Order: sequence, then C-alpha cells, then structure tokens
Amino acid sequence: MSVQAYCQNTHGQNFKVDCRACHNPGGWKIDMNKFTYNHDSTGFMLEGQHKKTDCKSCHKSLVFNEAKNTCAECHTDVHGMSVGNDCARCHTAKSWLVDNIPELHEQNGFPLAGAHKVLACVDCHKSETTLKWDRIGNECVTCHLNDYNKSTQPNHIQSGFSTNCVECHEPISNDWGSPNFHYFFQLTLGHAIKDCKACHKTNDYKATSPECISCHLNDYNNAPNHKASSFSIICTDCHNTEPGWVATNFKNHDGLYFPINSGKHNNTWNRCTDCHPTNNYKEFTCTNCHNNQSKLAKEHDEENDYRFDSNACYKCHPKGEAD
Amino acid sequence: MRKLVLLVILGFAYGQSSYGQISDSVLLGTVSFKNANNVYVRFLSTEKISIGDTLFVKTSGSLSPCLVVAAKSSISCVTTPIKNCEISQDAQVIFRIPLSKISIKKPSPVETKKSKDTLFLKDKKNPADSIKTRDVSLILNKQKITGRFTAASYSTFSNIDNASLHSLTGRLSLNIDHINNSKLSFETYLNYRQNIVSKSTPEGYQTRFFRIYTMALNYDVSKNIKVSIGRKINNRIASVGAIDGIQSEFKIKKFFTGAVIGFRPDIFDYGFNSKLLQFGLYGGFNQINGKASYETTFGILEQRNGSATDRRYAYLQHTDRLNDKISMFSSLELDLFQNVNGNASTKTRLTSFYYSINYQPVRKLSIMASYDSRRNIIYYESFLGNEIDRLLADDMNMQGVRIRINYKLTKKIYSGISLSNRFQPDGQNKSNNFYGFITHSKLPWIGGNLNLNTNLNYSNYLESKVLALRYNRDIFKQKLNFSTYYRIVDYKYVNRDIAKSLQHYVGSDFSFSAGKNYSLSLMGELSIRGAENNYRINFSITKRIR
Repeated sequence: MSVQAYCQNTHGQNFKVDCRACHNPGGWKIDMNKFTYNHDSTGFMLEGQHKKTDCKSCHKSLVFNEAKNTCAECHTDVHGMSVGNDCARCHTAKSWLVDNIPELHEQNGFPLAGAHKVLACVDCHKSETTLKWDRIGNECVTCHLNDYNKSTQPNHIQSGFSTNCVECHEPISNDWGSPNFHYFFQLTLGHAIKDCKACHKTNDYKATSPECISCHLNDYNNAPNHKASSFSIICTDCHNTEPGWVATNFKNHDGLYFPINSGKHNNTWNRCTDCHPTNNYKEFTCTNCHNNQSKLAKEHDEENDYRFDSNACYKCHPKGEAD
Repeated sequence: MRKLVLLVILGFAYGQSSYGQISDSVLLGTVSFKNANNVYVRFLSTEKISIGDTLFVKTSGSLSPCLVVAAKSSISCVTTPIKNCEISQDAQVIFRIPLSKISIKKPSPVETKKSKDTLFLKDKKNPADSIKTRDVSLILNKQKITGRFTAASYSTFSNIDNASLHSLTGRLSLNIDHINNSKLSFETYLNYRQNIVSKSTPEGYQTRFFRIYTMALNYDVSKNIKVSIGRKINNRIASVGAIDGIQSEFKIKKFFTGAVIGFRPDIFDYGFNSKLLQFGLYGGFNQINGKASYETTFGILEQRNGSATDRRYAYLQHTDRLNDKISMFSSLELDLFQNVNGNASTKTRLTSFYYSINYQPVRKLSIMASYDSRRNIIYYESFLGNEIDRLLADDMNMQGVRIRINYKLTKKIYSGISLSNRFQPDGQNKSNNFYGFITHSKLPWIGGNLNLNTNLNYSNYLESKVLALRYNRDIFKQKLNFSTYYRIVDYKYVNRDIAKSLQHYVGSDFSFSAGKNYSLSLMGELSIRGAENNYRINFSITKRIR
C-alpha cells in the first residue's frame, strides 16, 4: 500500500485557483502577458491606481486571503479620523485628488455657489494640517461672526440683528448687498436710498415702521389740501413709490366722490389735475374735457336747467353717466 | 515466515509516502508536470541532489536511469529525459544519494528558522488550517522603493467681477523599505500648495502651504519590535495625527503595545514646535482567523503646551471583519482633562465617536451605515480664554447618520441610494440629504457607462435639487478614459420667496495612462446661472516611483 504524501499549497489550504491562471512552465516568476486570473472574482476590483500597483504591495505574504482590503489598512489617514473610514465617499481608486468637490459640498448642505465658489479650501477649513475636516457646520455665522461683529453700515450688534444671516443676505449671491437684500421693504424707485439713516433714525433698525405715514407725515401735512380735505393717510391709496409724489390712483374716489376707476371715466384721466385744476380739490372741472359748448347745448336743448358749468354737470350726472 | 516478515517490512517501508525518503540512501520523488522538453519532479527536499545528477525509475524490479537534473529549487527538479525515456505524470522517481552525502542531516519538515530553503511548513496542530510560508526574513529585507509624485492645478474663474482662484499643488509620497537590504526603512508624505486669488485679501492672509505629514525612519529591531523616529502618523491611533518624535511598538503573538513620545505639530502652521510636548501609551490585540479578523487599540495621550496640560484623552479604535460579508469599524476619543478659568479637573467629555458597518449579504447587494458624533476639541493652554469660553458655550455635539445601499439589478445595471442626516440638539447646522443613482455599464453599440443621479438636500435655509447625467468610457485599450456630464441645479431659500434661475453645469474629463508609471487627467466645467458664467479647470499629472 502507499500513502499519498500531504500536498501543501503555498497560497493557503483553501486556495482553489488553477496554478495555470498565474503561473507557467517557464518558471515561478509571473509573466503578466500570460496572466489570466480575474482579480474581480475576489470582490476587490483592481481599478484605477490599484491596477498598476505591484501585487506585493498588498499581498505581504503568499497566503493571498490575508491581504487587507479596507482603505485604512494600507493607506495612512491624513484626515486624522475627522471624516471616518468611508474613503469612497470622496475618493476613487483613480486618484487621491478630488474633482467633484462642489457636488460633495451640496450633499452636505453647503453648496459652493455665489461668492463661495472662488474660495480656497483653507478659507473655511482652517485646520493647521489643511487636510483635517474639523466640524464647521453650514450656518453662515460660523465663518462670518467677525463680519457680523465688525459691520457698521449698519451696526449689526447695536441694531440687534439676528445672527441668522439669511434673513437679509443670500448665501448663493456674489456679494453681501444683493438686490433682494431689503426684501421686506423694496428699496426701489423713490426708496433707492443708500443711506440707511435716511429712514432708520435710531440704531434700533427693527423699530422703523414700514408704514408710509411714519416717514412722510410732514409731506402729508404740507401737501395741498391733504389735511383740509381729510385725505386718507394711507398714502398708497393715491401714490406709488415713484419719485415726485405723482398721484396715480385714488381707490376710494368712486365711492366717496365720483367714479373715476369704473364706468365711463375709467382710464380717461392721467393725473388728478386733469379734473382738479387748482390745489383746492373740492374744486373740479368737467368742462376741461367736455368742452364742446355748442354740441352740449344742442344735446341739452330740452333741459330747462342746463348750464355749461361743472357743478351743474355734477348735479345731474353724479355717476358720470349720460342718464 | 521469514518471507512474510520481509514482505511486511518492505510493504511498510514502501508505504511511508509516495515521495520521501525510504532509507538513508534513496530519495523518492513524483513527476508533477511534463512538457515537450522537461519533466518536473517534486521531492520533499532536494538538498542532496545536484545539477547533473541522474534520476531513476523502477522498471521490472530494477532501477533504470531516466532523467538528468537540469535545474532545481528547494523541493523540485527540472529534468531532461535520457534516451527518450518515457515517463508519465505522477510516476515515481528515485534518486540514489551518493555515499558522500549520506551523512548530511535530513531537514525536518517542520523546521522553520534555520532552514531557509524549506518552502512549506506544516502546522503541526492544525494541518488542515492555514499554512505558514517559509521564513520570510529574506523577502522582507529586500530593498523596495515605491512612491508617487503628483502635480496638479485647480482653477476656478467667473465673469462676475473677474473673480478667480488658482490652486497649484505638488504631492510626494515615498517609501523605501529595507534600505540597502537592511532593517531600516524610510517613508515620507509631503504636500505643497499655492493659492493665487484675484480678490483682495486681508493682511496676513496665507497663500502658500507646505505640509509634511510623514517623514520618518523606521527600524525593525526584530520581528516583533519596531521603532520609528521622525514625523509619523500611526495608523493604530490615527486620530492623534502626526507625532514628531519616537514611536515604538512591541508585538507578542496577538498582542501589541506601543509608546509615543515627542511633540505635536504647531497648531497654526503644522511646523515643528518644541513647546507642544506629547506622550502616551497604547495597547491592543489583533487576530486573523481564516476570513475573520479583528483589531482593537486602546491608548492614552497627554498633550502639553510648555509645562501645562493642553489636552489629555483616551482613545479607542476597533476594526472587526467577521467574515467576507460583514465588517465594522469604530473609534472614540474621551477627554480626561478640563481647565476652565484656571480650575483644572479630570472631568470627562466625549469629543468624538464614530461607528460604521459594512454588510454584503450577497454579491449584488452592499449596505453601509455609519453614525458619528463630534464636539469641539479644546486645547486649554493653546487657546485663548475667550476662545475657550466660546467653544464651551457652543459645545453641542454635531451628529450624523448615514446609510448607503448599492444593488446590482442585472449584470450591467446597478443602482444605489444614500441617505444622510446631520443634526445637533439646538437644530442648527441641519442637513438632510438624499442621493440616488442608476448606472448602465457596457452600453450596447456605443459601449461605455451611462449614469443618472439625483441629489436632494434640505438645510435650515436652503433647498437644493440636482439632476445629473454622466457618460464615460474607456478608449484606446483602456489607456484613455473619457467622461462628459450635464447637471441642472435648482436652489430655493426656505423662508424667502426669491425667484432664482436654474444653474446649469456641463463638463468633461479625460484620464490618460501613459505606461505603468504615468497618469494624466484634465477636467473642464462650465456652469451658467442667468448672466453668470463660471469655469473650472483641473489638471494633474502623476508619476509612480518604482
């Protein structure tokens, strides 16, 4: 009887790969041109730089399944564990350099857009190593506290402004003063004022009322007949924010006096002075527009009380209608 | 009776093994392989066989010369047949040991250290288990140089205010193992970056950064004792970062222990700072058992500024691979020292905790989940008093949960989703993110891969929605990889009704492998938002050092 000798495999007892996948009769040295073993079958795909790496860099012994297969087991963690051990979140086997940094920031709730897109990494990530990602969050004040403390136009601290910068500023705009900066009160047309103090008389900016009359009471008092005629103090009843105080509208005129926003006289006038030639708005004229005296006389030849007079017109036509 | 005894003796002797030594004068081998020119014969040991020796086969009860040894290894001979001697695979071959060599001591099959030629060492206790390789001291002590040098530039510029940023980077990693086949090795990892910015910068604004992450000499005192001197990041205690000084580690079986003494890099410029003394001890154990392995490290570190304690903390790191389906990793830092307003105490504070688990129940499906919690790290002596107050006032732990699932739908289509949530107790710094993708690889007709992905993010003040399409393929025998993509992004403020235009991105990148040692890549991107055009161009070249 014969006893079969015990056959030992250099690559481990459970190594079942055919020798010919890697070796050839020419010798033990691996000839990569004849190498047919598919490394993907191990579950660790040789991609990118791993494809060019020498086998022995990972396989420190000939027992192949002893090779390490997590990033940290072969690569030094230069991030000092500040981002855990999930290297694949940012890196690929192609290179340690990262090209999709803006996308990674979007996934963390801080898009590199607006003024933030031309920042160097170290402008925010201030670790001395330049590669350690200490916690900084995504709230503006984390990086801009100094800007908040130092601002004087207006003084944020004295004015009691919130440290929630987004209440006034836009993170994805290109500067601090975006067009929508004063979104709660549009600084346009007659309000396109650079000097905050023109409206904010005290340092308590929140105390400034957005009501027109709070700033324009003097204008109201000095305006012709506003007070005498008991005009509304809701300025927007007649005015918009165009400079010059041109009255463009009087919403209650129809109900109170004479229909000018409805009926026959709608869209027939441009300004109040079309019908009110003097500063005394109790005075009005119909004959400014209805000025064909002979024609009117002919139309009214059966009316005994007809007179070519505005008050007479109003007396018979209070609604601005022919009948 | 005599014949019977002889028969038993011969039978026993013959049955020892199919190859081996049946007497002091003969070695038995087996033909392991044949080709047109050579016959390979395997022995237990070829120590007594010389090139040119003759090997015999048994025919008709007598020995006939058949093969001549042309070359040999420690257990195998390459032979050429004599006079067209026909021999088959697995046939037995006999070598007659010359009288002059008979007294040579036989090598023990389990001998390790002394026999440098013994290739296989049978584990006496568990013969079916792992096989130890030959004494690898010769392999490990062979000089080996590996490394990589990369030069890269990142450029971003915009048509708004002509804003631009250019960042030039040079990076070198170099490992020289066993300098001149000695026990001394060298490693280094350096990075240089220069930023060129168009905007006005405040006084003292830095634009150049030269960083040495590692530059150390490592010495293998013995198989179980290693010493390093210089700047080095110790992978067993990675969160400590670089240590300027001496590190030593001693291993015995599955246990290890180490000590570090030196200095902490300067907290402003990462240079050498002799005031920042640090020292500590760590210990742990690791085990590899087939496909399972685990390693645990526990350490304590004291960091000083001058003679005062800056920080003192305990560190724990654990890696666990249960099998080829599940692996886990965790680490934590526990501060053991506090000094507020001059009141030093040993009050503990958990500054960092991280845990992750990877699970791959089947080849098609992989799941990763992680949790992390981090607080401000405070150096009580290095930081100014009001800075410490601010950090302690903002001492909430920022936490994050992440889960990622990748699934291979078919042989060519795979998909995945990733959910992450960052939060802290006061509701600040919130970020909820959803990422999903689907990829079709090896597209019919045109080849390459097509990837569609989307990302949705919700923070306290901004919502972003991204949709992207990317195509990439290898060309020129996989030496060149080309990809192109389009992304569309919609930002919306949470509490403000501001009309925003969509942001469009279009880009391409090329990666080229020039031989085994060179890689080049070029990436260009244009993004458009209303009248605003932004450009990004990244370029890099990498040279492998072998």
